[in-house]
Amino acid sequence: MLDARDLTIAYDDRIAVADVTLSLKPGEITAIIGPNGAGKSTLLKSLNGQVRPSSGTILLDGQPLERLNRRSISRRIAVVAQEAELRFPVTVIEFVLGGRFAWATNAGWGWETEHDLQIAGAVLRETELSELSGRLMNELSGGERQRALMARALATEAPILLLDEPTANLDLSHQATLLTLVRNRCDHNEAAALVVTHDINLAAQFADNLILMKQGRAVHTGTPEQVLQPQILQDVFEVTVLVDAHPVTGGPRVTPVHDTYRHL
Amino acid sequence: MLPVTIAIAIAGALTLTLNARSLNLLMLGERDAFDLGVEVGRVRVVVFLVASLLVGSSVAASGSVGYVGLVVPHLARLSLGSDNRISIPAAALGGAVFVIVADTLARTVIAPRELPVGAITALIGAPLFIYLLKRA
Repeated sequence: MLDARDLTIAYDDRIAVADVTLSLKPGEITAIIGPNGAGKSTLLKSLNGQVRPSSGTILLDGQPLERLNRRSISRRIAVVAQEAELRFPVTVIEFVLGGRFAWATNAGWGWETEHDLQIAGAVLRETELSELSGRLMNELSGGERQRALMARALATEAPILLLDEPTANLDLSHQATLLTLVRNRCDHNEAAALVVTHDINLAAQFADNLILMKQGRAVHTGTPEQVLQPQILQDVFEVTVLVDAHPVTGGPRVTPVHDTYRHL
Repeated sequence: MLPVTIAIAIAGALTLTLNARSLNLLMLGERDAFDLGVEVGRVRVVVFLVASLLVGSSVAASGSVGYVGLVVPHLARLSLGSDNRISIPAAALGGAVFVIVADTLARTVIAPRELPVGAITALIGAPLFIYLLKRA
């Protein structure tokens, strides 16, 4: 669906992403983890054209990304940011209907179709926001706003979801709820998702593949079991970690061990 | 001169109205608009150019008539909501009506002599503008 090959992204003289190759496949969640400044968000931004790579190719359904127009990209790739920008007050339903822009046949001036409204209604139910649809976005709680962002991304019907630290402002239960929405999309609609996150354990639970980045490079890729090994994580994050089996899922569980406790 | 101004006014108002949906998304923020499929760079250039042309040509034709542009778009937005599909054409229409009313007053209140239109628009516009500023 989305293939990036040998991507390098440089800002002036600093190289943010170096030689990264990745491929998103239907039904799979891929998580990018790594220390701050590893180039995770920059990589994500390049995949929908927001940041132009210095070299390398990005193919969307086999076509070079830079040759496609904005609307055709937005019909296939949806982005969920850490926060909504919200420079002007809008209601939740108006916000979510924004996701239908790329499909509009009258993109200049015209109203949303019955179909658009049906889809908006469905995603609002899916994200449990139906009752809030008439409220203003800036009156919502952080968790509700994040669900609205997710709802808008789902409303685009894009088969590829790019999520940039979508859970950073959410409490424990909302983190899981949000990623369950992503999981469902991938399982039932053959969608593919790429999630940038700092939460390694959340990534281990929800992702099929992990990409571990350090200083712009994808240093390890593979299943959570392959990537989340104590030696690998210690080399990348420069902190001692304990990896054991998650008591419920059986997958890897990572606990950082602070230097103070190393003697124990 | 007048036919040129009329042509620019009609074409400009139409162009802005035909970018209303993109402008709605741009109100959220440029990054969001980009992600949702708006060609941010193109829309920005078009809107800047057209807005400048509209202002320039109308001032060239009529001289400076204050408070029309300051008050009418805000009133349109406050009364009809921030959806540009409605508020842009409403502002264009409302501005025209406002100026015609002001011009009629200017020609009639002390007839046969005439007041400058700008005096009338300022008389109505300035208090409204202060009211709008206090509300915001």
